[in-house]
Amino acid sequence: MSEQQNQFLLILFGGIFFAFLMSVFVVAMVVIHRQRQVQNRQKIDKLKAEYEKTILNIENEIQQETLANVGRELHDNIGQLLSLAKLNLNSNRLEKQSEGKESINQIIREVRALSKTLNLDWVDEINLDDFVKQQLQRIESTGYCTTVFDSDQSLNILSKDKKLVMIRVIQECLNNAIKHASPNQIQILISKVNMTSYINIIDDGRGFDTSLQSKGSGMANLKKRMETIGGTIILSSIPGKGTHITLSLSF
Amino acid sequence: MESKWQLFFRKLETYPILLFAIAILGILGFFLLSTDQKKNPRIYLSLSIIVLVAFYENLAGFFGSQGISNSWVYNLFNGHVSAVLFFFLIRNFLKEKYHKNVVLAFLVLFLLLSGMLHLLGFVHFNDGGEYISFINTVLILCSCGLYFFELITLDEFLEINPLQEFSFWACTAILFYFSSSFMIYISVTYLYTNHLDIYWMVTEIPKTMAILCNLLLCFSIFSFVIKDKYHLEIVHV
Repeated sequence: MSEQQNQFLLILFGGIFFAFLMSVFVVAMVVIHRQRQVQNRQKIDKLKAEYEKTILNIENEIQQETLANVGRELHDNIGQLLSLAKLNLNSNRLEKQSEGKESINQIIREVRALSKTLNLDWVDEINLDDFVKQQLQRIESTGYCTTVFDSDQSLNILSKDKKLVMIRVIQECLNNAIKHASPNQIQILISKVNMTSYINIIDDGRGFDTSLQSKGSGMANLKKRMETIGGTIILSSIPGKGTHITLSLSF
Repeated sequence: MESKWQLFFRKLETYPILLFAIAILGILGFFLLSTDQKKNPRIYLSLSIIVLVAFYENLAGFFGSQGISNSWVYNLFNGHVSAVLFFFLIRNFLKEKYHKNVVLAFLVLFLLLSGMLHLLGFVHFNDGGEYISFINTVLILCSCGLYFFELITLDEFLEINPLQEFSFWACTAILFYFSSSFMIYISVTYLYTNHLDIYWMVTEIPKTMAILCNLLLCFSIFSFVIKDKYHLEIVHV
Protein backbone atom coordinates (compact mmCIF):
# COMPACT_ATOMS: atom_id res chain seq x y z
CA MET A 1 0.00 0.00 0.00
CA SER A 2 1.38 3.41 -0.92
CA GLU A 3 1.95 6.14 1.66
CA GLN A 4 -0.88 8.18 0.16
CA GLN A 5 -3.32 5.26 0.45
CA ASN A 6 -2.27 4.79 4.07
CA GLN A 7 -2.89 8.47 4.80
CA PHE A 8 -6.26 8.30 3.09
CA LEU A 9 -7.26 5.24 5.12
CA LEU A 10 -6.08 6.94 8.30
CA ILE A 11 -8.18 10.02 7.57
CA LEU A 12 -11.15 7.85 6.58
CA PHE A 13 -11.07 5.69 9.71
CA GLY A 14 -10.27 8.71 11.87
CA GLY A 15 -13.29 10.48 10.42
CA ILE A 16 -15.55 7.44 10.92
CA PHE A 17 -14.34 7.08 14.50
CA PHE A 18 -14.89 10.79 15.15
CA ALA A 19 -18.41 10.65 13.68
CA PHE A 20 -19.10 7.54 15.77
CA LEU A 21 -17.95 9.36 18.93
CA MET A 22 -20.18 12.34 18.13
CA SER A 23 -23.13 10.04 17.49
CA VAL A 24 -22.54 8.23 20.79
CA PHE A 25 -22.38 11.62 22.53
CA VAL A 26 -25.69 12.82 21.05
CA VAL A 27 -27.44 9.48 21.71
CA ALA A 28 -26.11 9.52 25.28
CA MET A 29 -27.56 13.01 25.75
CA VAL A 30 -30.98 11.82 24.53
CA VAL A 31 -30.84 8.73 26.77
CA ILE A 32 -29.86 10.78 29.84
CA HIS A 33 -32.65 13.25 29.03
CA ARG A 34 -35.17 10.38 28.75
CA GLN A 35 -34.00 8.91 32.06
CA ARG A 36 -34.43 12.31 33.73
CA GLN A 37 -37.93 12.55 32.26
CA VAL A 38 -38.83 9.11 33.68
CA GLN A 39 -37.36 9.99 37.09
CA ASN A 40 -39.20 13.29 37.08
CA ARG A 41 -42.48 11.59 36.17
CA GLN A 42 -42.01 9.10 39.02
CA LYS A 43 -41.24 11.97 41.40
CA ILE A 44 -44.37 13.86 40.29
CA ASP A 45 -46.50 10.71 40.72
CA LYS A 46 -45.06 10.17 44.19
CA LEU A 47 -45.70 13.78 45.16
CA LYS A 48 -49.23 13.57 43.79
CA ALA A 49 -49.93 10.40 45.80
CA GLU A 50 -48.46 12.02 48.91
CA TYR A 51 -50.53 15.13 48.36
CA GLU A 52 -53.74 13.12 47.97
CA LYS A 53 -52.88 11.10 51.08
CA THR A 54 -52.28 14.27 53.09
CA ILE A 55 -55.55 15.83 51.93
CA LEU A 56 -57.41 12.60 52.78
CA ASN A 57 -55.82 12.48 56.24
CA ILE A 58 -56.71 16.09 56.86
CA GLU A 59 -60.30 15.52 55.74
CA ASN A 60 -60.52 12.55 58.10
CA GLU A 61 -59.09 14.55 60.97
CA ILE A 62 -61.49 17.43 60.35
CA GLN A 63 -64.43 15.01 60.09
CA GLN A 64 -63.45 13.28 63.33
CA GLU A 65 -63.09 16.61 65.04
CA THR A 66 -66.44 17.66 63.63
CA LEU A 67 -68.07 14.47 64.92
CA ALA A 68 -66.60 15.07 68.37
CA ASN A 69 -67.88 18.64 68.20
CA VAL A 70 -71.33 17.41 67.09
CA GLY A 71 -71.37 14.97 70.00
CA ARG A 72 -70.50 17.77 72.41
CA GLU A 73 -73.10 20.09 70.90
CA LEU A 74 -75.79 17.37 71.03
CA HIS A 75 -75.01 16.67 74.65
CA ASP A 76 -74.30 20.14 75.99
CA ASN A 77 -76.48 22.36 73.85
CA ILE A 78 -79.22 20.57 71.96
CA GLY A 79 -79.80 18.03 74.75
CA GLN A 80 -80.20 20.87 77.22
CA LEU A 81 -82.51 22.78 74.90
CA LEU A 82 -84.65 19.66 74.33
CA SER A 83 -84.92 19.07 78.09
CA LEU A 84 -85.93 22.70 78.55
CA ALA A 85 -88.44 22.46 75.70
CA LYS A 86 -89.90 19.26 77.22
CA LEU A 87 -90.27 20.94 80.60
CA ASN A 88 -91.88 24.04 79.11
CA LEU A 89 -94.24 22.10 76.86
CA ASN A 90 -95.33 19.88 79.77
CA SER A 91 -96.30 22.98 81.73
CA ASN A 92 -99.92 24.10 81.76
CA ARG A 93 -98.96 27.74 81.67
CA LEU A 94 -99.36 29.34 78.25
CA GLU A 95 -96.23 31.52 78.46
CA LYS A 96 -94.16 28.42 79.31
CA GLN A 97 -95.66 26.60 76.33
CA SER A 98 -94.74 29.50 74.02
CA GLU A 99 -91.22 29.46 75.51
CA GLY A 100 -91.17 25.73 74.76
CA LYS A 101 -92.17 26.42 71.15
CA GLU A 102 -89.41 29.05 70.93
CA SER A 103 -86.97 26.47 72.32
CA ILE A 104 -88.06 24.03 69.60
CA ASN A 105 -87.43 26.72 66.98
CA GLN A 106 -83.98 27.33 68.46
CA ILE A 107 -83.29 23.59 68.42
CA ILE A 108 -84.25 23.47 64.75
CA ARG A 109 -81.83 26.33 64.02
CA GLU A 110 -79.07 24.67 66.04
CA VAL A 111 -79.59 21.29 64.34
CA ARG A 112 -79.50 22.97 60.92
CA ALA A 113 -76.28 24.76 61.80
CA LEU A 114 -74.83 21.53 63.16
CA SER A 115 -75.80 19.53 60.08
CA LYS A 116 -73.88 22.00 57.94
CA THR A 117 -70.66 21.14 59.76
CA LEU A 118 -71.04 17.41 59.06
CA ASN A 119 -69.68 17.64 55.52
CA LEU A 120 -66.72 19.70 54.35
CA ASP A 121 -68.76 22.17 52.31
CA TRP A 122 -68.16 24.81 54.96
CA VAL A 123 -64.51 24.86 53.89
CA ASP A 124 -65.63 26.14 50.48
CA GLU A 125 -67.82 28.81 52.02
CA ILE A 126 -65.39 30.19 54.56
CA ASN A 127 -62.20 32.10 53.74
CA LEU A 128 -59.02 31.67 55.72
CA ASP A 129 -59.30 35.06 57.44
CA ASP A 130 -62.80 34.27 58.71
CA PHE A 131 -61.68 30.86 59.89
CA VAL A 132 -58.73 32.32 61.83
CA LYS A 133 -61.01 35.00 63.30
CA GLN A 134 -63.48 32.29 64.44
CA GLN A 135 -60.70 30.27 66.05
CA LEU A 136 -59.28 33.29 67.87
CA GLN A 137 -62.76 34.37 69.02
CA ARG A 138 -63.35 30.88 70.36
CA ILE A 139 -60.09 31.06 72.34
CA GLU A 140 -60.85 34.54 73.60
CA SER A 141 -64.43 33.58 74.59
CA THR A 142 -63.07 30.96 76.97
CA GLY A 143 -61.10 33.74 78.69
CA TYR A 144 -57.92 31.73 78.26
CA CYS A 145 -55.90 34.54 76.68
CA THR A 146 -56.25 37.62 74.52
CA THR A 147 -55.79 37.46 70.76
CA VAL A 148 -54.70 39.80 67.98
CA PHE A 149 -55.47 39.32 64.30
CA ASP A 150 -54.27 41.32 61.33
CA SER A 151 -54.49 40.36 57.67
CA ASP A 152 -54.02 41.87 54.23
CA GLN A 153 -56.50 39.22 52.93
CA SER A 154 -53.87 37.80 50.61
CA LEU A 155 -54.77 34.21 51.53
CA ASN A 156 -58.48 34.50 50.84
CA ILE A 157 -58.10 33.13 47.33
CA LEU A 158 -56.76 29.70 48.28
CA SER A 159 -58.10 26.55 46.63
CA LYS A 160 -60.10 24.14 48.82
CA ASP A 161 -57.24 21.65 49.22
CA LYS A 162 -54.69 24.29 50.18
CA LYS A 163 -57.21 25.91 52.51
CA LEU A 164 -57.84 22.54 54.21
CA VAL A 165 -54.12 22.06 54.84
CA MET A 166 -53.68 25.63 56.10
CA ILE A 167 -56.73 25.26 58.39
CA ARG A 168 -55.31 22.08 59.93
CA VAL A 169 -51.82 23.54 60.33
CA ILE A 170 -53.15 26.74 61.96
CA GLN A 171 -55.45 24.69 64.22
CA GLU A 172 -52.52 22.50 65.25
CA CYS A 173 -50.31 25.53 65.97
CA LEU A 174 -53.05 27.11 68.09
CA ASN A 175 -53.71 23.83 69.92
CA ASN A 176 -50.00 23.53 70.70
CA ALA A 177 -49.88 27.10 72.01
CA ILE A 178 -52.88 26.51 74.28
CA LYS A 179 -51.73 23.06 75.39
CA HIS A 180 -48.07 23.76 76.10
CA ALA A 181 -47.33 27.50 76.20
CA SER A 182 -49.94 29.07 78.54
CA PRO A 183 -49.68 32.39 76.76
CA ASN A 184 -51.27 35.70 77.73
CA GLN A 185 -51.64 36.67 74.10
CA ILE A 186 -51.71 34.92 70.72
CA GLN A 187 -51.18 36.96 67.56
CA ILE A 188 -51.87 35.87 64.00
CA LEU A 189 -50.58 38.19 61.29
CA ILE A 190 -51.11 37.50 57.59
CA SER A 191 -49.15 39.47 55.01
CA LYS A 192 -47.87 39.12 51.46
CA VAL A 193 -44.38 40.07 50.34
CA ASN A 194 -43.68 39.79 46.60
CA MET A 195 -45.25 36.50 45.57
CA THR A 196 -45.19 34.85 48.99
CA SER A 197 -47.82 35.02 51.72
CA TYR A 198 -46.74 34.70 55.33
CA ILE A 199 -48.79 33.69 58.37
CA ASN A 200 -47.04 34.59 61.61
CA ILE A 201 -48.40 32.85 64.69
CA ILE A 202 -46.83 34.46 67.74
CA ASP A 203 -47.44 33.67 71.38
CA ASP A 204 -45.84 35.13 74.49
CA GLY A 205 -46.03 31.86 76.39
CA ARG A 206 -43.46 29.56 77.94
CA GLY A 207 -41.42 28.94 74.85
CA PHE A 208 -38.95 26.10 74.60
CA ASP A 209 -35.43 25.23 73.59
CA THR A 210 -35.58 24.42 69.87
CA SER A 211 -32.20 22.70 69.97
CA LEU A 212 -33.68 19.89 72.08
CA GLN A 213 -35.09 17.06 70.01
CA SER A 214 -38.86 16.78 70.21
CA LYS A 215 -40.38 13.47 71.34
CA GLY A 216 -43.47 13.78 69.16
CA SER A 217 -43.87 13.94 65.41
CA GLY A 218 -46.14 17.01 65.40
CA MET A 219 -43.64 19.46 63.94
CA ALA A 220 -42.46 16.96 61.31
CA ASN A 221 -46.10 16.39 60.29
CA LEU A 222 -46.76 20.11 60.01
CA LYS A 223 -43.62 20.55 57.92
CA LYS A 224 -44.60 17.70 55.62
CA ARG A 225 -48.12 19.05 55.23
CA MET A 226 -46.86 22.50 54.33
CA GLU A 227 -44.46 20.98 51.81
CA THR A 228 -47.29 19.12 50.05
CA ILE A 229 -48.90 22.45 49.15
CA GLY A 230 -45.55 24.06 48.28
CA GLY A 231 -45.19 25.93 51.54
CA THR A 232 -42.74 26.03 54.44
CA ILE A 233 -42.89 26.30 58.19
CA ILE A 234 -40.23 27.98 60.32
CA LEU A 235 -40.33 27.80 64.10
CA SER A 236 -38.32 29.90 66.50
CA SER A 237 -38.67 29.91 70.24
CA ILE A 238 -36.77 31.08 73.31
CA PRO A 239 -37.56 29.62 76.75
CA GLY A 240 -39.62 32.18 78.66
CA LYS A 241 -40.04 34.46 75.68
CA GLY A 242 -42.66 32.71 73.59
CA THR A 243 -42.81 31.03 70.22
CA HIS A 244 -42.93 32.41 66.70
CA ILE A 245 -44.14 30.22 63.84
CA THR A 246 -43.97 31.46 60.25
CA LEU A 247 -45.94 29.64 57.58
CA SER A 248 -45.11 30.73 54.07
CA LEU A 249 -46.87 29.89 50.85
CA SER A 250 -45.66 30.99 47.43
CA PHE A 251 -47.97 31.68 44.50
CA MET B 1 -12.74 34.38 -25.43
CA GLU B 2 -15.09 33.39 -22.61
CA SER B 3 -16.53 36.13 -20.43
CA LYS B 4 -16.08 36.03 -16.62
CA TRP B 5 -19.64 34.78 -16.12
CA GLN B 6 -19.37 32.11 -18.82
CA LEU B 7 -16.23 30.87 -17.09
CA PHE B 8 -17.97 30.91 -13.75
CA PHE B 9 -21.00 28.98 -14.98
CA ARG B 10 -18.84 26.47 -16.83
CA LYS B 11 -16.85 25.69 -13.70
CA LEU B 12 -19.88 25.74 -11.39
CA GLU B 13 -20.12 22.58 -9.26
CA THR B 14 -23.16 20.86 -7.76
CA TYR B 15 -22.28 22.07 -4.24
CA PRO B 16 -22.83 25.85 -4.74
CA ILE B 17 -25.89 25.13 -6.91
CA LEU B 18 -27.41 23.06 -4.10
CA LEU B 19 -26.63 25.76 -1.54
CA PHE B 20 -28.16 28.36 -3.83
CA ALA B 21 -31.30 26.24 -4.26
CA ILE B 22 -31.61 25.80 -0.49
CA ALA B 23 -31.22 29.56 0.00
CA ILE B 24 -33.93 30.29 -2.60
CA LEU B 25 -36.22 27.74 -0.90
CA GLY B 26 -35.51 29.37 2.47
CA ILE B 27 -36.33 32.85 1.14
CA LEU B 28 -39.56 31.57 -0.44
CA GLY B 29 -40.53 29.84 2.80
CA PHE B 30 -39.72 32.96 4.77
CA PHE B 31 -42.14 35.04 2.69
CA LEU B 32 -44.89 32.50 3.41
CA LEU B 33 -44.57 33.11 7.15
CA SER B 34 -46.62 35.52 9.23
CA THR B 35 -45.03 38.71 10.61
CA ASP B 36 -44.77 37.19 14.10
CA GLN B 37 -43.12 34.05 12.74
CA LYS B 38 -40.66 36.17 10.74
CA LYS B 39 -39.68 37.94 13.94
CA ASN B 40 -38.68 34.62 15.56
CA PRO B 41 -34.86 34.89 15.98
CA ARG B 42 -34.44 31.18 15.14
CA ILE B 43 -36.10 31.78 11.79
CA TYR B 44 -34.27 34.90 10.68
CA LEU B 45 -30.93 33.58 11.97
CA SER B 46 -31.44 30.29 10.10
CA LEU B 47 -32.33 32.19 6.94
CA SER B 48 -29.34 34.51 7.35
CA ILE B 49 -27.02 31.50 7.65
CA ILE B 50 -28.33 29.65 4.59
CA VAL B 51 -28.34 32.81 2.45
CA LEU B 52 -24.85 33.77 3.63
CA VAL B 53 -23.40 30.30 2.98
CA ALA B 54 -24.93 30.22 -0.51
CA PHE B 55 -23.61 33.72 -1.18
CA TYR B 56 -20.01 33.18 -0.11
CA GLU B 57 -19.70 29.73 -1.67
CA ASN B 58 -20.85 31.13 -5.01
CA LEU B 59 -18.67 34.23 -4.58
CA ALA B 60 -15.67 32.00 -3.78
CA GLY B 61 -16.58 29.89 -6.83
CA PHE B 62 -16.66 33.01 -8.98
CA PHE B 63 -13.21 34.17 -7.84
CA GLY B 64 -11.87 30.63 -8.12
CA SER B 65 -13.12 30.36 -11.69
CA GLN B 66 -11.20 33.53 -12.61
CA GLY B 67 -8.03 32.14 -11.08
CA ILE B 68 -8.14 34.79 -8.29
CA SER B 69 -7.41 33.71 -4.73
CA ASN B 70 -10.68 33.23 -2.86
CA SER B 71 -9.23 32.54 0.60
CA TRP B 72 -10.32 35.94 1.89
CA VAL B 73 -13.95 35.06 1.04
CA TYR B 74 -13.78 31.96 3.26
CA ASN B 75 -11.81 33.83 5.94
CA LEU B 76 -14.27 36.68 6.09
CA PHE B 77 -17.61 34.97 5.54
CA ASN B 78 -17.04 31.37 6.69
CA GLY B 79 -14.47 32.14 9.39
CA HIS B 80 -16.16 35.21 10.83
CA VAL B 81 -19.65 36.21 9.68
CA SER B 82 -21.22 32.73 9.63
CA ALA B 83 -19.44 31.86 12.90
CA VAL B 84 -21.01 34.94 14.52
CA LEU B 85 -24.45 33.90 13.22
CA PHE B 86 -23.97 30.37 14.58
CA PHE B 87 -22.98 31.84 17.97
CA PHE B 88 -26.19 33.89 18.01
CA LEU B 89 -28.29 30.90 16.94
CA ILE B 90 -26.89 28.64 19.69
CA ARG B 91 -27.25 31.50 22.17
CA ASN B 92 -30.92 31.68 21.27
CA PHE B 93 -31.35 27.95 22.03
CA LEU B 94 -30.05 28.38 25.59
CA LYS B 95 -32.43 29.00 28.48
CA GLU B 96 -30.17 30.18 31.29
CA LYS B 97 -29.05 33.81 31.25
CA TYR B 98 -25.63 32.86 32.57
CA HIS B 99 -25.05 30.42 29.70
CA LYS B 100 -26.26 33.02 27.19
CA ASN B 101 -23.70 35.42 28.60
CA VAL B 102 -21.01 32.74 28.35
CA VAL B 103 -21.77 32.32 24.62
CA LEU B 104 -21.67 36.08 24.20
CA ALA B 105 -18.30 36.07 25.99
CA PHE B 106 -17.12 33.33 23.59
CA LEU B 107 -18.17 35.50 20.66
CA VAL B 108 -16.38 38.58 22.01
CA LEU B 109 -13.30 36.46 22.82
CA PHE B 110 -13.30 35.05 19.28
CA LEU B 111 -13.56 38.48 17.67
CA LEU B 112 -10.89 39.91 19.98
CA LEU B 113 -8.50 37.03 19.32
CA SER B 114 -9.14 37.23 15.60
CA GLY B 115 -8.60 41.01 15.61
CA MET B 116 -5.40 40.68 17.61
CA LEU B 117 -4.02 37.90 15.41
CA HIS B 118 -4.75 39.94 12.29
CA LEU B 119 -3.31 43.16 13.75
CA LEU B 120 -0.17 41.43 15.03
CA GLY B 121 0.31 39.79 11.66
CA PHE B 122 0.10 36.17 12.86
CA VAL B 123 -2.68 35.55 10.40
CA HIS B 124 -3.53 37.16 7.12
CA PHE B 125 -6.94 37.59 5.49
CA ASN B 126 -5.69 35.70 2.46
CA ASP B 127 -4.16 32.67 4.24
CA GLY B 128 -5.64 29.21 4.86
CA GLY B 129 -7.50 30.44 7.98
CA GLU B 130 -6.32 27.55 10.19
CA TYR B 131 -5.99 29.57 13.40
CA ILE B 132 -9.29 31.37 12.99
CA SER B 133 -11.05 28.08 12.18
CA PHE B 134 -9.44 26.46 15.20
CA ILE B 135 -10.63 29.24 17.54
CA ASN B 136 -14.18 29.56 16.22
CA THR B 137 -14.71 25.79 15.98
CA VAL B 138 -13.53 25.18 19.55
CA LEU B 139 -15.74 27.98 20.89
CA ILE B 140 -18.80 26.90 18.85
CA LEU B 141 -18.35 23.29 20.00
CA CYS B 142 -18.17 24.55 23.61
CA SER B 143 -21.39 26.51 23.02
CA CYS B 144 -23.06 23.35 21.67
CA GLY B 145 -21.76 21.57 24.79
CA LEU B 146 -23.56 24.19 26.91
CA TYR B 147 -26.81 23.44 25.06
CA PHE B 148 -26.48 19.69 25.71
CA PHE B 149 -25.57 20.43 29.32
CA GLU B 150 -28.78 22.42 29.69
CA LEU B 151 -30.73 19.66 27.95
CA ILE B 152 -29.76 17.10 30.60
CA THR B 153 -29.82 19.39 33.64
CA LEU B 154 -32.55 22.02 33.30
CA ASP B 155 -36.13 21.34 34.33
CA GLU B 156 -37.45 23.46 31.43
CA PHE B 157 -36.25 20.77 29.03
CA LEU B 158 -38.05 17.98 30.92
CA GLU B 159 -41.36 18.65 29.24
CA ILE B 160 -40.02 18.49 25.70
CA ASN B 161 -39.16 15.60 23.42
CA PRO B 162 -35.66 16.46 22.09
CA LEU B 163 -36.29 14.45 18.92
CA GLN B 164 -39.10 16.85 18.03
CA GLU B 165 -37.19 19.98 18.98
CA PHE B 166 -35.51 22.11 16.31
CA SER B 167 -32.88 23.39 18.76
CA PHE B 168 -31.75 19.80 19.43
CA TRP B 169 -31.39 18.90 15.75
CA ALA B 170 -29.80 22.25 14.89
CA CYS B 171 -27.24 21.86 17.69
CA THR B 172 -26.56 18.26 16.60
CA ALA B 173 -26.06 19.40 12.99
CA ILE B 174 -23.78 22.27 14.08
CA LEU B 175 -21.85 19.87 16.31
CA PHE B 176 -21.35 17.38 13.45
CA TYR B 177 -20.59 20.10 10.89
CA PHE B 178 -17.97 21.88 12.98
CA SER B 179 -16.39 18.76 14.46
CA SER B 180 -16.15 17.04 11.06
CA SER B 181 -14.68 20.13 9.42
CA PHE B 182 -12.37 20.85 12.34
CA MET B 183 -9.50 18.59 11.30
CA ILE B 184 -9.90 19.54 7.65
CA TYR B 185 -9.94 23.32 8.16
CA ILE B 186 -6.88 23.33 10.43
CA SER B 187 -4.90 21.17 8.01
CA VAL B 188 -6.09 22.86 4.83
CA THR B 189 -2.75 24.50 3.87
CA TYR B 190 -0.78 21.32 4.59
CA LEU B 191 -3.14 19.13 2.56
CA TYR B 192 -3.39 21.64 -0.29
CA THR B 193 0.40 21.94 -0.49
CA ASN B 194 1.40 18.32 0.05
CA HIS B 195 -1.55 16.03 -0.77
CA LEU B 196 -3.82 17.79 -3.21
CA ASP B 197 -5.81 14.65 -4.11
CA ILE B 198 -6.51 13.91 -0.43
CA TYR B 199 -7.43 17.59 0.04
CA TRP B 200 -10.11 17.34 -2.67
CA MET B 201 -11.43 14.12 -1.13
CA VAL B 202 -11.70 15.33 2.43
CA THR B 203 -13.22 18.70 1.52
CA GLU B 204 -16.29 16.70 0.48
CA ILE B 205 -16.95 16.05 4.18
CA PRO B 206 -17.54 19.69 5.28
CA LYS B 207 -19.40 20.27 2.00
CA THR B 208 -21.81 17.39 2.70
CA MET B 209 -22.22 18.49 6.31
CA ALA B 210 -22.85 22.10 5.23
CA ILE B 211 -25.60 20.94 2.85
CA LEU B 212 -27.22 18.81 5.57
CA CYS B 213 -26.94 21.65 8.09
CA ASN B 214 -28.43 24.19 5.67
CA LEU B 215 -31.22 21.78 4.74
CA LEU B 216 -32.13 21.46 8.40
CA LEU B 217 -32.09 25.23 8.90
CA CYS B 218 -34.26 25.61 5.80
CA PHE B 219 -36.65 22.97 7.16
CA SER B 220 -37.08 25.03 10.34
CA ILE B 221 -38.63 27.77 8.17
CA PHE B 222 -40.89 25.27 6.41
CA SER B 223 -41.94 23.61 9.66
CA PHE B 224 -44.05 26.73 10.34
CA VAL B 225 -45.53 26.58 6.85
CA ILE B 226 -46.39 22.86 7.31
CA LYS B 227 -47.80 23.58 10.78
CA ASP B 228 -50.03 26.38 9.48
CA LYS B 229 -51.21 24.51 6.42
CA TYR B 230 -51.52 20.90 7.62
CA HIS B 231 -51.72 21.41 11.40
CA LEU B 232 -48.79 19.07 11.71
CA GLU B 233 -45.80 19.95 13.89
CA ILE B 234 -42.89 17.81 12.78
CA VAL B 235 -40.34 19.81 14.76
CA HIS B 236 -41.04 22.49 17.31
CA VAL B 237 -39.13 25.68 16.42
